[in-house]
Amino acid sequence: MHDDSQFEGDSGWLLDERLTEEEVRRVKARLRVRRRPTRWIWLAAAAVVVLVLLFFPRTDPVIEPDRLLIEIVRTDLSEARPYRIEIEMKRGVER
Amino acid sequence: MSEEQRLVERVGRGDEEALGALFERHREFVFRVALGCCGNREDAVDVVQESFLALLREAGSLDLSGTRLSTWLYRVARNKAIDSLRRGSRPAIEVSPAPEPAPDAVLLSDQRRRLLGRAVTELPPRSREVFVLRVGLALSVERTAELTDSEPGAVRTALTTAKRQLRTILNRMEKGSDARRLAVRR
Repeated sequence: MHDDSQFEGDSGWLLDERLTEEEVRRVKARLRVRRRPTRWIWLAAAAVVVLVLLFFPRTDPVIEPDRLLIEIVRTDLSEARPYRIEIEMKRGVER
Repeated sequence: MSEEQRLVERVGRGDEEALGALFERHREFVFRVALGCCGNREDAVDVVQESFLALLREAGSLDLSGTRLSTWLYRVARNKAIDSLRRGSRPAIEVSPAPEPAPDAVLLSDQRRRLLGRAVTELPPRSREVFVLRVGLALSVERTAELTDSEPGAVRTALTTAKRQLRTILNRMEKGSDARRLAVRR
């Protein structure tokens, strides 16, 4: 049978438990591994932003009607031979 | 601002050296709490790792005014240990002998350690928490109350309850092992 006095002897029963060197190494290695991807994610995100800014075609709402006009003319003339199309841009016409 | 708060701020800025310093300072405490709650080393080591990962994630926004980092780490470790117990990933208890036993600690036989460790994991959460802190880690009633966010009187009451529950569990375990021994003899 067990009584209260038995547990008095158990005081501090966990105090002589320690992480072994191997366990410490394992935890430290996992902490380092978990940190590394975070840095890479930031670097990769920054690279994606730079690439998008450099290469993504910017759409300008003012230019868009002109581009459509070029497309219509090019379709009508067919692509049998190259054409030079010149469009005189008149700024502020829409206003 | 305390030195520890400064270290936490550095961890928040991604300083690995500061994280290492805090890990060295608190790892054994977190491990013992986790071992007391989980009852086996593998899960306890996982809890240590997850607790320091939580520190890594939250250090940037962690406000320690009015509390100690060990209190914050304790609560994280306790919750992770409870999650681990709920998952029931590993069979409870295999507390191995310590490589360098503390001279003032009461040395118990491996068998006694295993039995007690397994019995503690069967305690209800509140009883287990108080028993691990007050008896397992030999913390004062006041510190146990601080960590468990309760009053010293409530800790004493919970401890009495825990001891009663533990006696019942240990008696049941011993009866079970006696019955198995008898069955083997027959």
